Amino acid sequence: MAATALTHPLAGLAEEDLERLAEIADRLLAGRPLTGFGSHAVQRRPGRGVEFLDYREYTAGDDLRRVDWRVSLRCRQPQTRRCQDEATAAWYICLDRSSSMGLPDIDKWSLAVQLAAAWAYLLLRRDNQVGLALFSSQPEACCPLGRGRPHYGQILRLLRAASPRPEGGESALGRCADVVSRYAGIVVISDFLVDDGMQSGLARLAGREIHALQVLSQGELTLPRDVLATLQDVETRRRLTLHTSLQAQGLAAAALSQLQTDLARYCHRHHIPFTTTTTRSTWQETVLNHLRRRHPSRA
Amino acid sequence: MLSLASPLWLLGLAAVPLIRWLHRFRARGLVIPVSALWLWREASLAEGGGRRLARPDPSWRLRAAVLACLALALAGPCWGIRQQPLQIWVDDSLSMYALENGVRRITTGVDALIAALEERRQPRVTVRSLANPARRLSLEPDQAVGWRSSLLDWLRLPGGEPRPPAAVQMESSVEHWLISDGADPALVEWLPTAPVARVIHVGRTTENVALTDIAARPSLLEPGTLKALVTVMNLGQESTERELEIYFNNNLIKTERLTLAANGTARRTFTLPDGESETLHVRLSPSDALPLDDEGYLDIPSAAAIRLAGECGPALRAALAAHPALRLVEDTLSSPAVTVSCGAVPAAVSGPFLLLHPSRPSQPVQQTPRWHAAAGSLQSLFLDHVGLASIPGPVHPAAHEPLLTAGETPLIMAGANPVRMIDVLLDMEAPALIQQPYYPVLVSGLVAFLLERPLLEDYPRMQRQPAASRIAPTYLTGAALAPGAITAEGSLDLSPWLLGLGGLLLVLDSWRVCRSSTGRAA
Repeated sequence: MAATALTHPLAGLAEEDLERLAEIADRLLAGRPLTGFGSHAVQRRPGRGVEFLDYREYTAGDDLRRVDWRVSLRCRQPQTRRCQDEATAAWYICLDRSSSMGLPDIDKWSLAVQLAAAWAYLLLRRDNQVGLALFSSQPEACCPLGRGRPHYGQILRLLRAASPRPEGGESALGRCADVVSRYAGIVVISDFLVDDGMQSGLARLAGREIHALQVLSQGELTLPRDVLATLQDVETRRRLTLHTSLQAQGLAAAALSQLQTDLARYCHRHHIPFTTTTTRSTWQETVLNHLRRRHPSRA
Repeated sequence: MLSLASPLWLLGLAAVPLIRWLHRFRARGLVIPVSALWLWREASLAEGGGRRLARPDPSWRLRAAVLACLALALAGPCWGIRQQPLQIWVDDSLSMYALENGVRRITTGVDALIAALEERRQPRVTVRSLANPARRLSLEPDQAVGWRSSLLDWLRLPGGEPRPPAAVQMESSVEHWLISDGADPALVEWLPTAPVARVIHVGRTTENVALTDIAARPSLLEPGTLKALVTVMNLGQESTERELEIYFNNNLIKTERLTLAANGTARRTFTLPDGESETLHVRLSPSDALPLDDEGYLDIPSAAAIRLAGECGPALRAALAAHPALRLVEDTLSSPAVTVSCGAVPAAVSGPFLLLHPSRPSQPVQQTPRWHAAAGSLQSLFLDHVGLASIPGPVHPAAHEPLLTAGETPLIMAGANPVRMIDVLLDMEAPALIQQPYYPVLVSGLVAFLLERPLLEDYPRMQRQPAASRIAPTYLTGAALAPGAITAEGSLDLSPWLLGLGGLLLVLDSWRVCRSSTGRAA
């Protein structure tokens, strides 16, 4: 459903709010980069940066300023400190624009767009490279990695022009692997309303930093009560006729709850920070809730 | 009691289960797009797999009700007395016996009635004659095969001009039908007031010439002859010609070509010889649509024979001889109608006789004579006592009924045992009496009393009402007529109510569908 709101959702993103959020985020993260948690294999490359990566034996040509004399004394061999390449602080925000993101109302898409913009701001403010990929059954639009304020403007322009598909477009997150750098982290913003909760897509993106934000509508399962209706999946066009009784809605809610449970379990297992939000919450609350999650430090 | 005019339409109710069945398969118009159909799969499985609904769309009830209302309305339900008894009023007047294409109108009407009765299961049918409403015929439902022959036999002859009953006299618990050609204006006036549900109209022909009057009387100028009168009327709307044939004692004595204008009348008079009993037969040719009024017969009786016995006076003899309806006979072999005995009654007299006493002395009547009720029409004859003379003496033992007395003096006595007789104790030859102008009338009256019939006023005549021969039909209409409808009191046609209810339910269903569609769109 196209974003035909009289007021674009990005209009609600005041820079003051973003700045305030960034300050809160800074305090929450306490200077730490936005990473995942657990012992998952994260590909980090040594290179120019300030973040310590590891030690290795000194070889000819190494910068003497990088030699850690204390460790060298302990090891009785010169050791060079390696730092993480700042090139790994790149993030792609993968925003799902399949048709389900426009149902049952446009508020879901609005919140998703706001979250995407907020995340882009936060990441860019922390001097990360940020890119934006809109996907449905395939990557459909992309804003490549960039830094700084001008790049934020590009991202916003792309977000303003974006809208959920009117119909069709199954959420194929795994296809984003084709456009997203294998070293970049990914923030997935979607409703995750796929049979497997997009676990297969997440699995395809394994090896990256992944954050998952599930955006649902407050009335996701709300239907006219006690009517015989034909439900049509807006993405697959399949149909199902049933009585929209209280029992039916209860069963659907249970299925949704099970999806979220399974997804959360999967994310936990794969060290993917996962947050569910509904249109009842604001984008600020959603971002802060996600940041407040406790991430056990990596060994 | 509920009855149905076309119960076959109830077969449409068999489609109600079909509607219910179809509403289990057919998707309702309300299509709701959802973000994830698989979330509802469990709910669908709980209803039975999703392909077929455990419960049909509730709208099936409303649509089935619409169909049921339509089927019931077409079946023609009627709450009341549709099966009430049927009473058929048959116009059996003369015009209904007119021929059309060789078939009588009454026969055509009977055939139409039989066809109409076969369309409905009528438990009881009563046929009544409009000419004589007391005359009726019941048609038993188990003898429907013989209805036609029974009706035609019952209506073999015309019954007369219609005497329709007053509307209040017609039973309200039965349904009334009428078979008529409407030729009689009385029916046209009666029908709007009568609770007649159906009229079987017959007749198209309008032309008819009728013989309306045949009369004969003794000629006043030519004794021994009869004067005859024939009247012919054209009751049609076009001029026509007919051949008038007159037969006297089976002999054709006269023919004449008559040209009659529309509604025209032709009268012809002619002279016939008088004698013994004669028969006058008049006929029109060629015959037309109503042959029953194209000929007529007139029996002309001969003069009554009077035999005189004894020495009757000349005045009496002259009065009897001059009477046009009497003739004096002399022979003793034939039986006279009346024997006038002047003196003793002959022993061979077996019929009525008039006894007079001319040989006995008379004396003047002192009091005014008075007629008694037994004298009948003789009471109109005023007799003044002046000039009257009575003959005292014994009265015939059989004469004990006084006809004329003057005080206590019997003047004319009558008796009837063993035969009718009159003993006249008046001096019928008294000069004062015989000079009275009423003398012949008195003699005629005495003879008429014995014969028990008038002699001077009555003459043979055959008459037909011209209106009865007018056969031009009139299409009967009236306020009470409603072809095919039941106007009997107490019945209510339920079809409009059912159609209205069905329409209302259809509007309600349409409104619900529109509301659901627009609500979802919003």
